[in-house]
Amino acid sequence: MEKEILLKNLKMFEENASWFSGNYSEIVEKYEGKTVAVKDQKIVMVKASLDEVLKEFESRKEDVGSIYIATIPEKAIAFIL
Amino acid sequence: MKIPLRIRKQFDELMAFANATIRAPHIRRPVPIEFLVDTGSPWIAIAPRDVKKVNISIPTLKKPQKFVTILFAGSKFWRYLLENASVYVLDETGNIVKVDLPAVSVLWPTKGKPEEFDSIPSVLGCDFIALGEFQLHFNPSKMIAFLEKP
Repeated sequence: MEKEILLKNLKMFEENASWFSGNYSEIVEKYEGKTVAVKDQKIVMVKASLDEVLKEFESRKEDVGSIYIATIPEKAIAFIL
Repeated sequence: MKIPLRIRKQFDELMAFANATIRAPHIRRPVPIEFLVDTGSPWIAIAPRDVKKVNISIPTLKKPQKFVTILFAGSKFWRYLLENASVYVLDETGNIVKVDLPAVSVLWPTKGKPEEFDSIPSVLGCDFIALGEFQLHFNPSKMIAFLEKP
């Protein structure tokens, strides 16, 4: 059962992450500096911070296992890791 | 066996990303997170944003004996160890591949608010590639990226 959940979450997360990557430039334009949540290959939540997004899902008692969450960097900033 | 990687154009350049779920005793919410594949990092490391997502309690973690402070994305972080970790990824046929690691690094800022670092990704570094016995293939001009175990 645990393995089934792991597999299901990874597959759904992959779909959401791929959708995010395919739409990255539009998302950056629209949601610069915000945190977005992608579920079923669409943006379902936009908040000012990651903490707010996690809190909101927690209050809804919604599992974030398959949800792709990203904080969009400001357009003028890039990272070298 | 191949682990497909996702290529995304970020900061105007093509970069490779992987999804993985990490299970370890200190992870309270073992959900998938995204990693930037980064051979410039010695270790697989969980960034502050994903520490929150998988709900790790930082005070319960040990610090390593070596390399306790890390410079990463222009900021200084404490490095903690998430011991006895298993990393789960999907192969090209959609099956789970498990890689056991003695520890995964966890990064937490030495100063400033953790939310200031929410755009910084977790990274899949050299220890994961070596211990998993993977070869990294990255050909961005042809949009090809994968890890392969011969």
